[in-house]
Amino acid sequence: MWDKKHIIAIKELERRHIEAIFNLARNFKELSQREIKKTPALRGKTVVNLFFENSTRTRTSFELAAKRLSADVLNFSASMSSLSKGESIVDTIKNLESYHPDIIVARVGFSASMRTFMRYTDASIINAGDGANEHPTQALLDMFTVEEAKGTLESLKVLIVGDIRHSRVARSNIFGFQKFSSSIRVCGPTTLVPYEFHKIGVEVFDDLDKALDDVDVIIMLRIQRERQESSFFPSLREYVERFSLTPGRIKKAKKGCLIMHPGPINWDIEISSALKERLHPFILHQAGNGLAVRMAVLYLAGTRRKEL
Amino acid sequence: MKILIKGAKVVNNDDIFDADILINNGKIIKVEKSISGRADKEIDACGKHVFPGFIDIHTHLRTPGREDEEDFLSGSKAAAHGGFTAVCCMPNTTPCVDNEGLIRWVIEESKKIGLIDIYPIGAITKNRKGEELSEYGAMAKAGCLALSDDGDSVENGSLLRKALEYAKMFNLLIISHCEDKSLSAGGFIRESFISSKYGMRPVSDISESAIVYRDIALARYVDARLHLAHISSKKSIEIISEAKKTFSKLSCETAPHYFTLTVEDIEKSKFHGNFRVNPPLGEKHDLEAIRKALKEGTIDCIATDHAPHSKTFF
Repeated sequence: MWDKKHIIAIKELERRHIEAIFNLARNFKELSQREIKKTPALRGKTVVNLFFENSTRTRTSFELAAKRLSADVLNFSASMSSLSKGESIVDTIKNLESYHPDIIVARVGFSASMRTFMRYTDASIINAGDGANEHPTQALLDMFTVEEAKGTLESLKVLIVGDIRHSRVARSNIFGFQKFSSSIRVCGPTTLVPYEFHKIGVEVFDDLDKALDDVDVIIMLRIQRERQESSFFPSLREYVERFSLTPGRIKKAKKGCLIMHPGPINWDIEISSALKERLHPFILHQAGNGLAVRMAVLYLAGTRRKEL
Repeated sequence: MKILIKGAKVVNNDDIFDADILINNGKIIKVEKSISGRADKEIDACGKHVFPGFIDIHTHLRTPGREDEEDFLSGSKAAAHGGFTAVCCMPNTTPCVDNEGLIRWVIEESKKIGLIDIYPIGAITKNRKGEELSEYGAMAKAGCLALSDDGDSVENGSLLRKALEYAKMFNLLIISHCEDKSLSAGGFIRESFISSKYGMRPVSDISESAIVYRDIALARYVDARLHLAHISSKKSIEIISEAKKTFSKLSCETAPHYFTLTVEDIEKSKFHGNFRVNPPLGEKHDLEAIRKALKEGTIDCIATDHAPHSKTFF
């Protein structure tokens, strides 16, 4: 039985929820390869994409996912919204609520703030990123991609590299992979690993060469230029020197190790462009899985209390 | 008008005992085991504790400027309701209470209401900007007893030194809000496992304790009275406790939330906005250190830091 109205955080999901999402995602993925890519699963339902922070790939992939499920989709982004006219976030939600949406896919800049949305709407909320807290569908598509490629999520060694501190992708992946007894390493400049982060149950590295040893999966995170401006590291040159995935460095990784990136990639910062030809196809495949996973999540949120 | 309170458990700073209390025209004239005789009004206080009127030395009455959040009437009623007969109010208002005229105005306005005594705290620096000293002499004459830029530390150490020295002439107490804003940097939750787990912008306890250390050093150097507001961390208490051994002009306060709640309660509340305070709630070891410091007298008093906010949403 699917018993979750909202999908807010990987922290709050159990393993059986994740497995249910993946089972559905596999079906939806198969559907996307047919000539008619649409199913009437959410016909008559309304999905609102409510993005208070910029997003292209997450928003478009949710939009397409909802359309493939035959839902009516309303896109609402901060730049074009009433927010720029001074309306508060809460009033914006209340306003949307008057259209009785069934699902709100929301992104906000504030960590752990999705509960505020629940207070003002009856719709199911799907978190599309809340501050540096969680980005559950990104982690789900990452894990789905790993399971597809490795055949399992059990007891893997997963390494996450880059700006751990500000990354909701890192947090969601950590909580997700941990549910399958995989072990997680994080690696980044010491300034970009949060305080007491080992307590979350990860191994912390500041040397990529050492961290790479024996891992099955590497998730490279995007580095934002603003982090340099606020002195988390002195220069991109120095960052690249120590944390970029280069042809030389990649030799230290295990054969068959999966290399992923949530995108968009800064080539020659996170990953050397010399590896583009070799690594980009899998990263694009990873992004493509986002559609099926988001269809599954929308479907479950839109048709609750179905037997799994 | 005579009021007799019968059968009370009287709580004093040094003792708790059973007694009757006789009040004549607003003044306590007798506290004895059993008082008989006639009174205009008799209150049965059997099974109840009777405390002296509380004084809250740290409140924000939001007036002038944000009367929608609190004004002297609502603030007075709230105080009286909780047993407070006097409160001090902080000057982070609009305009800022940094001059003789506004000090006088606050006192006069509160007297018109007459429910409690309101003592305005003047700003250390003009408009709390941390740039120039406000007129302490004139404010003291108007009835100001203490100075604070609460909400901000006086970032400029040399200016704070001058403030401490200059305030001595008028026997004004400097109250420090201890926060290094370069360290708190817009954060709103104590840096802890929880802030890391949820990716929230953190504030380390050093943001408080570093300024606690600096301000005590300056006060000691110029031999001036110093009071530290809303102490929230074990690290600060260790510094204060050590300093108090040799420096008697130092006092400090904490607030109820710092010895009853921790950052874990924020998580348990699912990040309810009511748990957002500044300085942010600490960890278990902070709560324990504060309780111990209260018992031992390292912390001199409890103030509420009463600070009403309007119901605005992000």
